[in-house]
Amino acid sequence: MKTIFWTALDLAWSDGSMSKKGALIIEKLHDAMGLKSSLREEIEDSFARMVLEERTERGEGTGDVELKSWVDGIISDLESEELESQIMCLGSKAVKKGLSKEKWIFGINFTEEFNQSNTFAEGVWMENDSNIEFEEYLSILQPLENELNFK
Amino acid sequence: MVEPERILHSVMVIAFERKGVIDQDLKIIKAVQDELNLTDEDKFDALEHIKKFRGNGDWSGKRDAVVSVAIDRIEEAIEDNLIESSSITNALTKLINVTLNEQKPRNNSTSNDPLAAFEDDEEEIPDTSLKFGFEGEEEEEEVIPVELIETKEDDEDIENNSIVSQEAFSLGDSEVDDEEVDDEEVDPFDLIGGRNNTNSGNGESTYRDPLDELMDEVDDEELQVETIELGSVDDEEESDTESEKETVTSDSQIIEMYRMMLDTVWVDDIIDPSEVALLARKRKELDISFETHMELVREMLED
Repeated sequence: MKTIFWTALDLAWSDGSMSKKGALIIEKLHDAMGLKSSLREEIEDSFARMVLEERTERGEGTGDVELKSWVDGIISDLESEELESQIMCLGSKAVKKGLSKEKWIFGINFTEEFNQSNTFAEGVWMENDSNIEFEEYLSILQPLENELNFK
Repeated sequence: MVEPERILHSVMVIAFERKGVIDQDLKIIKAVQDELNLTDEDKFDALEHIKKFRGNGDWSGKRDAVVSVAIDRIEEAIEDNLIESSSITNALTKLINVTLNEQKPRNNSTSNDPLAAFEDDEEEIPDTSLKFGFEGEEEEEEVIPVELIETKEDDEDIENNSIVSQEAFSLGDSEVDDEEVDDEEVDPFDLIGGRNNTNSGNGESTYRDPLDELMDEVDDEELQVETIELGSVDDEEESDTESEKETVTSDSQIIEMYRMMLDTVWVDDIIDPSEVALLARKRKELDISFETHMELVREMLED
């Protein structure tokens, strides 16, 4: 399952090349997420190994257009006041459905990229019991929502 | 609220551990299954799970933690009135009692120790939370004068009422068991259909719960305090120092106990709200921080 930064790399390299503009957008996203350098390095290494090494086609980095639009939405979500409570709610809902180790690890890794793994953990382990329910979740959380089978 | 399937699973766990072998035909299991309106398939699932993880009764070295979790679940189910039949509730309470008593460390040397009389009254229903430390103060408050214990034992017509007799005062031995059997409407041991002497399928387990060892230390210190109380005029400062000693517990042993509980609740690869609530309660009781909990989770997943 793709995490946020992985998805950004995927979009940036979608035609087999990354433009300079695409690289700048990636940096902007990195800063907005507060992604740790060591974690970023891990993700980029894995991405290079698992995606780029397999690719033979080379484009002109046209993925930057879609990347920009997507990253703008993500950055807006990162600034949302509801982000933490939604993550906590997802953690809590995940337990109510029965949370496997595999899904726990995904949830933690997914939210760690934007420094919210502790929030997810608090939701799962009932450290801060939030009773707020949400009809819809921010788009940044949709991969997590999908992975936890809420849809 | 504990799911009915998990209640049955927990009953099966402690019943099997009590008997020492897996025996799916125990009456208590059938009674609980009927009480909770569970199907044979539910029982089969629980049985398969137990067979998968129990091993020879050692539960991969986590037997005490598994039993503790099972007991907590059953107690929660009883508290929530999920089991309405009083006879089944009584039987389960007795079963929990005896199981908890059996988990207490056996120490033959106490047979000659008059202070062995200060062990917990076997008629009390132990709170499972006592298994996880911090009960030093409570136990000190519950010191019972020897005379009271003797009288009580006499009243209950125990053959040997000597305060130095381990048979009279030790927990979980067969006479105490028999005594408990006599005064209950439903006998958990009848329901179980007898038991073996060991808790594992292949002989006596050498595994000792780290918390039991912790309890040993607390008990030893309590003995010193009790000697002072009985043998001399209390010196307040000295007593305070001893009390402080009592509350000194080994953090690492508590953490280890919590780690085992964590392993146990996730042993089936799925955690549910009741397990999460149980762990949250234990964190508070044991004063374990969320950060420590998270470290333990990480370590567990790395193993």
